[in-house]
Amino acid sequence: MQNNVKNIFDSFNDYLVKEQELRTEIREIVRDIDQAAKEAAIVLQIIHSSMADVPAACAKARTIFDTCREGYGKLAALIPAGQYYRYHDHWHYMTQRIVFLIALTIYLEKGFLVNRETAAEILGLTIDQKSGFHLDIEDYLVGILQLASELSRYAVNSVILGDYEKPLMISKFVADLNSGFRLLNLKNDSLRKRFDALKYDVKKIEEIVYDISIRGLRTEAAAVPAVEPLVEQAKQT
Amino acid sequence: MSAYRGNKRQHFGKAGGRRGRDHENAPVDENNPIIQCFREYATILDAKHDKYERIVKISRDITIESKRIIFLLHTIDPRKNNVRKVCEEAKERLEAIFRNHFINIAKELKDQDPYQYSRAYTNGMQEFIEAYTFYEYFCGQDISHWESIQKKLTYEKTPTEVPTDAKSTKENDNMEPSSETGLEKPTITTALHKGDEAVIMACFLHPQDFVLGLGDLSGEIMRTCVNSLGAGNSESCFQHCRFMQELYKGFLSVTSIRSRDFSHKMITLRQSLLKSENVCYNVTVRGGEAAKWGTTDDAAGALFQLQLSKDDDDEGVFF
Repeated sequence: MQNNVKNIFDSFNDYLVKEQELRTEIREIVRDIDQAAKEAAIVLQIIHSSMADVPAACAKARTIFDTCREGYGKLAALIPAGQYYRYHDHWHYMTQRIVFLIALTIYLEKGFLVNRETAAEILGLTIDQKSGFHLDIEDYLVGILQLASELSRYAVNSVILGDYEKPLMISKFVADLNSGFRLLNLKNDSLRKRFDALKYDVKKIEEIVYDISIRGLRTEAAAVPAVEPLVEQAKQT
Repeated sequence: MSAYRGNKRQHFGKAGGRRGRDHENAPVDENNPIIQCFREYATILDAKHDKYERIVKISRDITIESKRIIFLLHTIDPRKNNVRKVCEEAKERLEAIFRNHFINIAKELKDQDPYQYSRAYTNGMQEFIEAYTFYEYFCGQDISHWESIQKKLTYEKTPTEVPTDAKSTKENDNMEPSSETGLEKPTITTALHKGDEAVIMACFLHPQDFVLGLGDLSGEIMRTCVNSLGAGNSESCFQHCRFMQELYKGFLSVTSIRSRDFSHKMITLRQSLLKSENVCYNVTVRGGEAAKWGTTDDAAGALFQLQLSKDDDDEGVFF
């Protein structure tokens, strides 16, 4: 019996050592991807200071996403089948941030919200859990929430840069996001906490729209009828 | 009640006007691509949370039943010569847990990443491991390796439905030999093995849960040790004590574990160990007859228990 206990703990230790080794490898790859993501984040900061450079920044960001994709490919090869969530904690922050960057890039380029499938595709992942390494839905959603915060900042800065139309677009977009998130039944977890911050972003952007409207800074009031109710609402609050 | 409700609704209607319209219209705008996406996300999230809750529920049932089995095992008394009978019953009930509860978790985990939901049933699993190993210990068997328990947690079923994803199964099968070390068994591969007609489902046993369960076992052994002293068969105290020392050694040998629970268990284990060593000490010094009185709450007992006496509550007693 005594040998038996020793055996169990010996194999448990082996098990831990193997896990540790794998984690070290994962950490290395994650660090590389993270580095690339940071670059993308820096590149995209240009949107807050110069309107003209936005397309170039988006193009640059997209090349960086390709680098990220390679990194994710390596990770996917490293993680044994069916153990995605065992090591998930190593990359979920990073993934959230990258989803945010992708969503921001696509919003700047096309003006709509990237869906989970497309975001996954850009990173060379799928949304299907069965395929092993996939884009976790909560990571995606947190990334989208980060986008809302960044857009509220973008709205401020686009006013500073003299673009009075952008805040209206952003306001519509974030309002849509908000109503989208309201459809979800969130548990009391980190996603929920992050979601609770969304209302401040919405408020901030609505205030900007209000400021613009009340001063008649919009070039054509009738140009964007869709945002009319929002303006109305802002006035009442 | 209904009148009040009616008022409330009216109140909403009044305040609504233009403003309410925005709030109520926005979510109903089904043509909005964002809303459509989020409807989809909502179903995915709900399915996930529901599954989690269902597993938690099963886990709770397992916890309760395991605690009862441990209680049952504590009724073993050599004087009554009921070892065989109690062990039979415990075995029966443990098997019943395999049959009734774990298979349901296995069903829930089918085609899933078991690590995603491992938090949902970790408590039940640990309690079960405690009961199971305690049973084995009591019946004089060797403590099972977690792999053999994992085998018992793997169910083969003639399918009512065909495995959904044949392609990924094949890939998994190919990967199996390379990643299969015998130690870490990717459960999805076993869960999805689509060879012949049978579907294999598994309730994944996290080795860490197993070890933590062993940690809980120490508390039960300590109680057995003290009880058997009270029952007068002081011989077995030494056996129990030796086993716990072995267990402690095993725990000490574990390095680099990423778990806070583990160090907590360590402390409890050490306290239990000290207690049972103290029992053995008393047996040796005074002979079995006297020690029975010595280790209860009198001064001599307190002297050896020292700082431990204040927080030596036995966990797992109440439920």
